[in-house]
Amino acid sequence: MALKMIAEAGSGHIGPSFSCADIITCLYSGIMKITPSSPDAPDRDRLILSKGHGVPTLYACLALKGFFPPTVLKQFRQINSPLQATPDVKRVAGIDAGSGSLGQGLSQALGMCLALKYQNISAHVYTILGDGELQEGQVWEAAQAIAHFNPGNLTAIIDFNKMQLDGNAIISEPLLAEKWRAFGWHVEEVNGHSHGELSSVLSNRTTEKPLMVIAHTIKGKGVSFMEGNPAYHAGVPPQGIIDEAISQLMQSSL
Amino acid sequence: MEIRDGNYGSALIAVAKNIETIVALDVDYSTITGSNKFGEIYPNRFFNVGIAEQNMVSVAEGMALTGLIPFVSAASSFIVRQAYDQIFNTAFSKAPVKFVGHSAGCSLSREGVCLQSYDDIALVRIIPGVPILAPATREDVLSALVAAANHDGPVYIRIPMPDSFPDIQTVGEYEIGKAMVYRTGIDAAILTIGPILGEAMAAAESLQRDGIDVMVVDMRCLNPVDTDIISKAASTGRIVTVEEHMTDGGLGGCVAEHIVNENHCTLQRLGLKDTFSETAPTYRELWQKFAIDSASIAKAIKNFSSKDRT
Repeated sequence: MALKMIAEAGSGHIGPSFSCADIITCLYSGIMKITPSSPDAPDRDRLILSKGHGVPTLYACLALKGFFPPTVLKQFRQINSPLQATPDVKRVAGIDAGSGSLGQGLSQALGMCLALKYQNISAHVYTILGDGELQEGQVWEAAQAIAHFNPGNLTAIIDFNKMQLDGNAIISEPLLAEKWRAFGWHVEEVNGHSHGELSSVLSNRTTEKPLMVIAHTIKGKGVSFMEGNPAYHAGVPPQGIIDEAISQLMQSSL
Repeated sequence: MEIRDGNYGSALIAVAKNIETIVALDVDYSTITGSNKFGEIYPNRFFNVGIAEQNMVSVAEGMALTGLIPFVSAASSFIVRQAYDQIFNTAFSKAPVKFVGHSAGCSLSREGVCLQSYDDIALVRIIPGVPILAPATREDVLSALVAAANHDGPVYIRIPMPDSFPDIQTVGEYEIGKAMVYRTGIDAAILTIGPILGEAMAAAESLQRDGIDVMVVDMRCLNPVDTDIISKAASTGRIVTVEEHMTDGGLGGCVAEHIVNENHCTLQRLGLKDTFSETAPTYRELWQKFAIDSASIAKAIKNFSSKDRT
């Protein structure tokens, strides 16, 4: 659905949307406490898609869950559309925070967690970051602050596809798990395309520390010629290629 | 503790008393802003996030999206310049965060250029939907915070170090979009923002002795600005704007934008003109250097010629 949305719009981020597709699907398939008919319920779980350009997948998920009719998906990136290129909290039921300027979601998540705790509301906040996004300094401001304040109801997930707009990871990423541990987080590493592994770490929290899930993923996952190919970070290929991609995705979902 | 003494923290305690959704954040600057006092009274409502302005603003955004009304404070130079994109995104989401830019203008001159601010009004003014309030007297701090707390959306409040406030009685509570006339007059108008109001009033008194009768207005708010008052001022034919700010883009720029279609009115904009500032023992030296003190204001008024009005 995300692919068709992007193709219809004529622009979008295929690679980044695909690499977090399993993560988002998993969250909305029983991990997050949400009610589509009450998108503003104060005690709902929240998701902040800090890597906002991956939003086509989130829109597809929200439509499938019933937050809005699937017909709305055709309006992605059109003018006057509720489905903006990156999440706009003012326009869409089910979007909990705006994003698009990378590096701010982890801070927003801390704010939401502290606000929930202050109001004695029991709810969890999830945020998904890109690995390129970790190059933004604010991420580390938030990392320290979260370990310090440790609200207890925050889970961060890195869509670790080891690629970004200009190609392979520009700043090398050795010791990613060790970095987060050094900042005071508990780190789990999983196959980001395995629902079993994802749901296991997301639903069986064994730590009092903030939880970081490093999800090893493949950019463009699901379509053979898109996988691991930075050319599909952004932009729309010709229709023939789209059709082939859709065909592969349909096959693998059977 | 005097809640109208010009101290931000003291005033916030009073505002927060009956609005339980108000919380406060600071960036290791709480002993200057006074938010530490708020933290002593309400420890579970105060979050010092350390020297991290971007984090502070986005944390506040998250809080504001989750039912709270966060007041975030830092030196005005740092909160606006360091966290500009974060302020922008908060405004874009219409999250009701109140940004307090402290130590505004020349008021912390002794600490150097970094802790002075002459561009914050211009930068915030250009973000849609963020009213800018600038208290001009000690009592105005509380009044401005009340107006900010009651406004349904983000607000920027520009507060100087309290010792630069003039010894003037305030005239009326703050309202978003409303200026306050401190002195009526027909020969010219002085429009000010912030504590430099005191210098305008002193200039007006000395001009009175020379037979020149000037209107003095504390503009109080930009974006929205009180356009009725600007028109009234323009009807004198001669306006001087005065601000601890660049003359381009701040109050002077705003007034220029509004009078361009008025019947003939000449405008002089006093403030910093295309220059950086510098360290000085007190704000008074800088007011003189940048020609925004009462003597400079009076001189500007006298510089209008009879040709400057229709």
